[in-house]
Amino acid sequence: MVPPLAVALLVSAAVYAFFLDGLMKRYLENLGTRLNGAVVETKSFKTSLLSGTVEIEGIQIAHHVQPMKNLLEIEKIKISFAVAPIFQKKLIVEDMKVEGIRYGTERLYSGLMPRGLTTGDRGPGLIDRVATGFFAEIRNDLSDNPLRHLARLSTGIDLNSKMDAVRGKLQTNARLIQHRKQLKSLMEKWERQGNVLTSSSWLADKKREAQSPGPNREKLRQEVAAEIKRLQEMWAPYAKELSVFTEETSDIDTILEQDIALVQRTLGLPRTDFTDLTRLMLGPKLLNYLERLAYWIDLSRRRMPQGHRQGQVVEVAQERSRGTSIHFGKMSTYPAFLLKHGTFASTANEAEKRGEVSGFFDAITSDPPIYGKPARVEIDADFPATEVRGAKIGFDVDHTGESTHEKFTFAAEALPLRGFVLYEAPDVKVSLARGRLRVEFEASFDENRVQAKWVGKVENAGYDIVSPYKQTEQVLREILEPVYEFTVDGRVKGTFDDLDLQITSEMGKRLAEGIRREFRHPLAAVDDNLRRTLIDQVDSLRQEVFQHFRELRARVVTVIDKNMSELAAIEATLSAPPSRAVSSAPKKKK
Amino acid sequence: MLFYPLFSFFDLVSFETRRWQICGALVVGLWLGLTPWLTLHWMAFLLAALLLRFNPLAVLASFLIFNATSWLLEPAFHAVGMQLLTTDALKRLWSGIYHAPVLTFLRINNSVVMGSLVVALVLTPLLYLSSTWIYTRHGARLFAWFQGSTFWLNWSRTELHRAYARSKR
Repeated sequence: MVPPLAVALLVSAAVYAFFLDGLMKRYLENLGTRLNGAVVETKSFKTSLLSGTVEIEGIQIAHHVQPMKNLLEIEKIKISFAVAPIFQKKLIVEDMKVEGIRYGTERLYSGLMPRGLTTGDRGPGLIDRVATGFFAEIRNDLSDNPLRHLARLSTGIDLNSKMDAVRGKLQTNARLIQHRKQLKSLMEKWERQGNVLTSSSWLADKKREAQSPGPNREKLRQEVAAEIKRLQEMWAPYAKELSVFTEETSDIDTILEQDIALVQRTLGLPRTDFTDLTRLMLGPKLLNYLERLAYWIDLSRRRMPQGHRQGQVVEVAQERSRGTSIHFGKMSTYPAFLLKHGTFASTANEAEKRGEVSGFFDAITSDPPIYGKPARVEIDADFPATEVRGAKIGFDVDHTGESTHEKFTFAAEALPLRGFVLYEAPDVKVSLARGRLRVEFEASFDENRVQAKWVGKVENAGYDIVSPYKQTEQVLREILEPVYEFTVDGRVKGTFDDLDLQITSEMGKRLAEGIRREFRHPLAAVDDNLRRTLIDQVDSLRQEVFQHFRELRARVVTVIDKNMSELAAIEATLSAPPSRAVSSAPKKKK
Repeated sequence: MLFYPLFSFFDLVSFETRRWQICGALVVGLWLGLTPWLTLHWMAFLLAALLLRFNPLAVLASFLIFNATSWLLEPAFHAVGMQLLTTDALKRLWSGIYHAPVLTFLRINNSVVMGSLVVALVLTPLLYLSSTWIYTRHGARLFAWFQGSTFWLNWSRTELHRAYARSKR
């Protein structure tokens, strides 16, 4: 019988010989796909543990947004690693060569991430948009683009049918109807109370009694005071209602303006008071690029985290899918993973779409505080087949200290802009049919703060404008066609949930000016029509309400005032010293 | 004849019935169930389960029970593990193990692995001693109860069991 241990060793050897490469290939493809957010696949994967080498061929990294395209295709990656640290569960790559790089090649099948595979099995990071919702406010701010509803002005706007839809939401009407109802009910209430006013005969009697001296003056005074108080109490609620009415109707014009603005928004009328549309047009796209960059920054912070130094020992904690792993670093020890040095080497071949790429990457490690050196990547690239010239990428990641610092730079002499969409909406799509961009971009990230600036120049621009409305298409074409060269510059500053984005270009200014010029009169006509319609609707109701108000005032206030003044006169008479009785008998002559 | 390989396999896995084989198997199942896979000590216990003469059915049953429990206890493992890994007095020990060849594959620098290791170490003597006591004092009674249970009575009436009984004659 074969000893079990021998069987186990035999099985292990067979697994290593036949299955290890396949298992490693699968693992790396899986990991790459999850990090990239789109399929990463390899043609072959060969390891040699004895000599410490790995060769990977035919790597395709799919584009995360255009699934039928590869972001990059790499012919071969050669890795040499130290064997002894494997027994300490450490992977130390001494050298790595990346050869034969292609950009933007076509795929045979979709590179969308397979179902069931998620980009992250950990909690969200500090700058994870999905979790924190940053950029939401600035995106809302950028959504009010006048190009959205330009076509409406071209085809004419049927105000009446649109007004019907929004009539129920108008505050002016609602307010006036409410006031009318209140005034009617006040009037009814007054009519019910009309018979409890002071009667004229009672007033006449009291007046007469006040004028003649007698022992009951005090009693009379009290009666008059009580009557005054009764009238005042009766008048008080009416006074309050009328005062509230006066106050509330004083801002009817303001509410009317708000209603006009509401109707304008509902109709989707574009604003033409912009002086530069660049921010609205290119802002969303720029935010997408910034978001993508933030994703890689966040990934670097999770996979290459900061540490905590205590004397000679450095600890780096990494969240895993199960628990937290703490890496203990000491003087002259290696981290768990280290890529000491790598180079890019690719020679151009236009037929094969291969680019001229040179560059290096240093100190890519899972535990930067333990290794003590910041990671650095520098690449120079030209891809003649896709007309990319003079591209330079730089990426510095410093997580060795107490806080995180990352810096990204990108520059290019020429980037093709064929089919670059400037703006897309149901009514109109504006894109660059051709163009070349020269750009310099720089961004730095410090903890949750970001600062970026860029300058770009677009040359030889040709536009592709598509709209179901020919007038809109024609107008935009007339505005944009002369703009064949323009610069774009801008900056971003702030924290991820409070970003300040500034961007300007000659194209945006000309577009804003052109739209204002072309659509000023139609917009003014629509606005005028809208105001007139609304004011007409409101005016008749307003007049009715004020008519009720005037009637109520006339009836209530007049009567109350008359009674009060007569009672006041009686009170004044009572307050004066009692005079001799007024007699109709003639005075005796002395 | 169709079922003979199945009967042979059943005999093979139920042959080890001595006390240390059953109780040891429960402990091995405990370690396999609680410990995260592919750590050094998990592999060691797997080899022990395959190569040493523990009762495989008992190992399997114990593994299933403790594996199910380990998912529920994971937050507790994490808490215990973090407490130990961040204790200053023990950091030199953890650092030494982390950098030592082979020992680093224990992966005790992970909080869940460390926590499960501690819990398994605590439970091992308890499980072994208690299972030994139950086996010694009540083993025969439990076996008799099982043989008298409705499940066993129904099972013994099936064709499959009758075929197995015939194959033993």
